[in-house]
Amino acid sequence: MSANIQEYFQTLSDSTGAIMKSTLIDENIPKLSKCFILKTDIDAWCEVLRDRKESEIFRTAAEEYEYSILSLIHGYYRNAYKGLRLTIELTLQGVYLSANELHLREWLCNKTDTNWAQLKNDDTGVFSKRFVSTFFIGLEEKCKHYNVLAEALYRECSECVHGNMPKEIVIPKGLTYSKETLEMWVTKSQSSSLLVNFALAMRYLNDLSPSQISSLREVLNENLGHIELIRNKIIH
Amino acid sequence: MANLIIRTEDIKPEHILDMYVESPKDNAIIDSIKAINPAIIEGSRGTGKSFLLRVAEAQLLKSFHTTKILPVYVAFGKSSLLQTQDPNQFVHWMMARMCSRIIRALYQMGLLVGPSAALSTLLGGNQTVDIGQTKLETIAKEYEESYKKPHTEIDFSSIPTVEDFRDSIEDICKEKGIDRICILFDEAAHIFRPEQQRQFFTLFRDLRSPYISCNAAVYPGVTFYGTIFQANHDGTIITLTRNPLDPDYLTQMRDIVLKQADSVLIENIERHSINFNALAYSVSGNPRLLLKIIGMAYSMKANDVKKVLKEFYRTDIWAEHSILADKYIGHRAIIDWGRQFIETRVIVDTIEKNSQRLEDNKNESTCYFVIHRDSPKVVFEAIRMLSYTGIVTQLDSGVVITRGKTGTRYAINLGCIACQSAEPIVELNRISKQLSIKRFSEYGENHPIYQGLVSSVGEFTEGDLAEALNREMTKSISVLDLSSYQERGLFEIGINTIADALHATESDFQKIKYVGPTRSRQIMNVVFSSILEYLSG
Repeated sequence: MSANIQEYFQTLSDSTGAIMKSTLIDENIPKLSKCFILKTDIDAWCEVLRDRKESEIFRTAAEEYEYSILSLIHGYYRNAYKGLRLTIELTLQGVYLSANELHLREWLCNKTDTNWAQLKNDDTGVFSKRFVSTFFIGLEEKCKHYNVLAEALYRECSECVHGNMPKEIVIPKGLTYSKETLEMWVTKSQSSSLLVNFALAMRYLNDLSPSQISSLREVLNENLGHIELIRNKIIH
Repeated sequence: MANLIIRTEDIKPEHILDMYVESPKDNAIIDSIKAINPAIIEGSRGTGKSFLLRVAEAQLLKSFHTTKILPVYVAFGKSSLLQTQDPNQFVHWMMARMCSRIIRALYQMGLLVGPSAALSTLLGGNQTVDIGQTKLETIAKEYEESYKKPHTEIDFSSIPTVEDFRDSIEDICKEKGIDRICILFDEAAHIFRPEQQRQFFTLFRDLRSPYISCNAAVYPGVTFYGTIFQANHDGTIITLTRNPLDPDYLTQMRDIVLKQADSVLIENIERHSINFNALAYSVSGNPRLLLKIIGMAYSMKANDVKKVLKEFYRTDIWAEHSILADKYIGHRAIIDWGRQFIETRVIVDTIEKNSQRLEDNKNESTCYFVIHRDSPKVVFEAIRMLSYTGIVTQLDSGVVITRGKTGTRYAINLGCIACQSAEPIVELNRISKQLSIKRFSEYGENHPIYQGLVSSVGEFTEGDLAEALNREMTKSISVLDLSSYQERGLFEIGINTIADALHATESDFQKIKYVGPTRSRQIMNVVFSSILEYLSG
């Protein structure tokens, strides 16, 4: 006798509840808290950029990131990776479109579309020399490194999007808690945090007022304090 | 954890061009390889010789429809396994390997259709191709498996002479519309077999024709050319080095790692770029060493990097050198003396010089030393073995030293110098940026440190490879350069010695947990290339 739909989903919900319990153990809390900071980072950027049209895109990125963590906690690991990829894509999209208001407006009202190839294009993308040197002179020597990082993250998260057998990312079969998967997602999320914050700082830091920079001090210090040019901006 | 590929043999041919980090210097070497004049690429283990040959091959294959130059890659790494009674086994085996590789290359390019008289020489008498295994391929294999039954007799009557081979290549080129065949010999001559070196270079010279261009990758000090081959007349010798003083050095080394890195490693390198730079300087331009130590210092945090620098350059790199002494007992005195000379004399002198310069507020440092040209031959022999493992690099000869005398200049691996410091990261970033080739330690023709060596070593003799091979077969697989996962897997299924691993089949490897047909092939390839590398030096 097959169960009715309510019972069926109740069983699934029980499973995810059990996974959530296993995930939210003391040992994992510092890792998850650290990951959650990216959501608050993007929120902080949205706040200082609230008058700009593309801030809507960043707001969506923050929201998607939160859903991504939610999926992670419930054991929907594939969705967690999909969400992480979307967060990266939306942030870079916003940065890319911010340089062209016409495209931005068209994109916001669904008239045009952008794709990943455009965002990571070596000559015209977000981390191209042209783009970086236009918005932050001196950071162009970093652009290749961040483009490679963006590509690597996108490729790794994409392994989970297409539904085939992931090569690098470990995904358990069925709804079950996996410490290994959780920890791998955490490392990818931290790399994403560096990428997202760098893209935003490279694009906007030179346009911000001292008080706006001040409100981002912690975000910048934590994520990009190792870059001298950015460190100097925070101090002065 | 990083899962970086450190050997070219483990990279799929279709990925070679994606992994290539272009630089003007490397592009020039590749152009020389592709050109009609023979080129001999000389470099220590891990400097990228095989990789550049493979890049040249991939580029030539890509442009074949326009240039009509067919590249054929032939590796002679298995020469250590030959143990037949045939006194010319090496020449016969080389010819058989070469013919088989050419047939395979013609087949892969879709140039073999139907019987052909021109092909019969390369097919050992047949006119039709059984691509499963040609007659000469079978013979080559018999030679390679002779270590299993030493002193086997092999019928080599169908192996062509060099003249027949050359004529046959000319006929094939004319028949198939090929401009020329560009042969790329890898691991061309065994470092401890002068006789093999002579035979190889004689063949290399004899093959010269308008339809064949030969290129070879050799280790430094493979200098027994025989009577026919004349270095610099019959081939341009190109030394493959990457100089830490080149302006794009760090970028190139970083890009080599980024080609394979996962997102976490890319992030770690970005967050700790000073630590990464120290690792890149430490390898003195050797990409394989870099990929190896990056795997060991994945977090890139200062403490991990410091630990790796100290352990790797104080112990691991020397262990690889000392393995040579265990394998080639006849050379033990020379190999051990070389280590002692560098560790207790050259490095100490170099550190002293660098400290003095620092005290004097002079922005100069050194990693160089010069050996007087009239020093005992055996001293150069000892240093030749150090350059094989990449601890020392020969830079130039005819360098003027004290009292107008001349000598040969060498560079010591920067990691070997900095690992002695309490702060190796700081030291590497300091000394590497201010190296001055004009500053070096000198060792005259009668330096007292040579005395111990000269008295303990007689005339330099060829090692008995057969005897060495038998000894090596009984050793544990833990001497191989395998990942801990691979090593554990082999032990798990009862493969304990090198002989066990060499005799194992793909289905044996499939007995390892979670290993199916695809991974068993990968593991078998990694194990086999690791064994060959171990046996070849």
